[in-house]
Amino acid sequence: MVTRTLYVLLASLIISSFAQLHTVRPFDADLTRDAPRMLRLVKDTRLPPTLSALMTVSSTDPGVDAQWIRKLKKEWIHGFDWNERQEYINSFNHFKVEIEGLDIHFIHAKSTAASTSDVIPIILTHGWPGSFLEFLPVVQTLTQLTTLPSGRNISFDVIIPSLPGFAYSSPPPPVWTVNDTARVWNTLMTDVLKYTSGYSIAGTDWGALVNWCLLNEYPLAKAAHFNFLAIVPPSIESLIALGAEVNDFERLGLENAGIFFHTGIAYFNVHQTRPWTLGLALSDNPMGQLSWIAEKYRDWSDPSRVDITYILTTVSLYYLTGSFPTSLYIYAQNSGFSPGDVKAITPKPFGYSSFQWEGIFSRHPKSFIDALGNLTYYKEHYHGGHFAPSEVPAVYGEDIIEMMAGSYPL
Amino acid sequence: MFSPIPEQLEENRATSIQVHFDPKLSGSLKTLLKLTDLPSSPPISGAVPWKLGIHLPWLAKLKQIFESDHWDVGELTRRINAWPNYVVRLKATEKEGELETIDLHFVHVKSPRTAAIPLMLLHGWPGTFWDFHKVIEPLTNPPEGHPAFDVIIPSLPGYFLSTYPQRAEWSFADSARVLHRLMTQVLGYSRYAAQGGDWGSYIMRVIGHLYPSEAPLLHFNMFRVHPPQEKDTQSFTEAEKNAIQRHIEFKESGSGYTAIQSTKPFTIGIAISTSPVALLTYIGEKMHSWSDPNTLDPLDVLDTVALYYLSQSFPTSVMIYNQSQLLKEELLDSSSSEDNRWKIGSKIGFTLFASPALASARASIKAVGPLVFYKERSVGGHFPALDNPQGLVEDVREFVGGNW
Repeated sequence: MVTRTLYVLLASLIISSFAQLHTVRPFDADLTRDAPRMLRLVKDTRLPPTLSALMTVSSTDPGVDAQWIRKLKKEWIHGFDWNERQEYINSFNHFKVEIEGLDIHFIHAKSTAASTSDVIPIILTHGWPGSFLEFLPVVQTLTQLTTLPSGRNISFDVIIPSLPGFAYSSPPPPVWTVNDTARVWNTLMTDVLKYTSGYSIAGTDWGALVNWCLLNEYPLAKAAHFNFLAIVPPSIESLIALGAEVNDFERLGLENAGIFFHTGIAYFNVHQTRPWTLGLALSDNPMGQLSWIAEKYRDWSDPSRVDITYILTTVSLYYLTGSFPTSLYIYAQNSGFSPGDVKAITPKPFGYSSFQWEGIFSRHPKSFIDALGNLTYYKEHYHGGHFAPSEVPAVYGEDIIEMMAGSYPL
Repeated sequence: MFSPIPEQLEENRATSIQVHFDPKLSGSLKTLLKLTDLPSSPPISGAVPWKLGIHLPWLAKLKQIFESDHWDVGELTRRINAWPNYVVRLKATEKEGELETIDLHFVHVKSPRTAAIPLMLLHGWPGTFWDFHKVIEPLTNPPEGHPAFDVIIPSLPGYFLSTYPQRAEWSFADSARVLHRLMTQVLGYSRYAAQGGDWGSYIMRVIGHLYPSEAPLLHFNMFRVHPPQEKDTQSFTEAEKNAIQRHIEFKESGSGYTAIQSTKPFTIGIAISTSPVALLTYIGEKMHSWSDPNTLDPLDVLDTVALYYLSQSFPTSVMIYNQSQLLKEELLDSSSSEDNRWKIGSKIGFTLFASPALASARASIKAVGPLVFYKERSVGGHFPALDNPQGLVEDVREFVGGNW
């Protein structure tokens, strides 16, 4: 009798633990409780005087001035409404799932045209100082029906995760790289969400590094779209010596890379070597996070697409989820990555959208990217920058559709 | 903006002031400290303490003292005003028609002894004039048989109450010229000695190059040139080898702050300066890393952080990294070439304290100027006036007093 009871108990424990394995739990973002406190800290922060007189004679851009930050502060207090932004965020379906001991947050937006189209699953990954917010404006473009010139109908199931240590995803363990995140993403798409025939991938910044690993190492990641590659750019001279043609648009990208490596890369060094100092200094310091993060949106975006509400929403998300300190760790944990060695080891297709205002590392010439692997799609845009998905969502979405329509093996 | 410096000031004349702070800022210091939370534990476990940044328990302990009744703005203000504080308005340069002025704050303590030696003490970043508060008394009023000094402790342009010139090309060479004018034209000293580290050491190197006869004796606790090749270090002492090693480590993983301060000073200025906890974290990490862990007094860290916060000078304090970068590179390179643009004519004294961030070996210093005093000490670090004041005073007495 006792043995049988124990057997039943044991069996039910095993069964229930399997059931909990990869249980997907829906949830709604609810950060309203700390929003008033955040605003109180913002109000109580006294900004220093402007140094704009120095700016006009300085030869390189010295960062964000108090005048602009004061303007953002005012908007944060008087114009910005976190509750309204949270409602918008919650208009999407949010979930959490435990994979390899990490709680991974993701949005799952299913195709709205599944019955009348071929559905391609796609996972979109952000970077720093980005978040899942970056891809929300693109969701509808992807989930709705697109009829291609050939007459074929396609649409997408869209999955938008948060990297470990960002927003609602739990922090990574002490040793963790983008390759580990890639493995977890593959588990998410195949074991958890059951896209066992495969999926496509897109993303930017650190997401692009995760995706490069996915494309090269995981058979079910069948095609990738990039608007960013963390590769140290070649010099214009060396490209021309190799017989490459570099047009003016491409030349501009390489010149911007020079500026970035000269005066725009210090944040990378700080994040890599002293993340905990910066993280703690800014952890309960919303104005500090605003300065640090807003500078990147100002410097890396298309100037005509800098959106103050979007910046405030992003900073509020970082602050209210307490994820600013952990978000810096990805730099320290991936210090081994070598931006030079990036040839693809897979024949799987990838595409590249070159947005003029891409402000970091480089916007690479077509000939350079072509040599990395099986480039099946390349497009140039005069608008949009590093945060292209949120800056120019319609164009970004169209590029993904166009690329996957041509290259994703259904 | 609130300032204890009067708006109307006669140029070139030192005016006595009482240091006091905007009561709103003093109030907000404590309020923001208490309002700001620290996490109870690091979010990613298993990290070696201090390896990836400040150690949370250390920071939490300092914050606790800072926000408690054990630390008080009024008390710090009283201690500062126990010494005579002054301000002088000077033209930024001596060029014909120069319009811009700088207000320079300084402490000036005259020794009661006759024949006291004028001694300028120069701080750096993230220091302040207050770094030297423990050495004023022993230097100005020593026991019988020891040399006495008139002590002058300026706040560098952009630090504490000293204003910052609004021009693109300002460097520490310009600061050196202004400070030289303070000593000679404003205070009337025909000759003086100086002691310093960090940016103070760069300023002294300029002074030693430009004004060797008026500033014949310079004592350094930091003297930075590029680290030598491995093969050239065979004859170095253990302390020198240790210093070189620390220098190399600094360049590899401890210099993120110089990168950000030299390229995006405005951004880091705002991000850090507006929160007392951010200042405590950012400055505290440096003071801890560069000091003797056995003798650094946490209260000195708190005083330093408070002075930065209450004067709102952090944003201008980092500008030197941006505007003096090229000049600094010239001095870092100046050890090897005979055709050395920044050779020093003054006599050099150097003390290698135990925990320096960026000290150099004797051979490197000798290539730049006449090194006549060298000492190694096993206590103290980058802020020796704070963590080994007795040792620093002894060396200044011996080197400056002995060679004046």
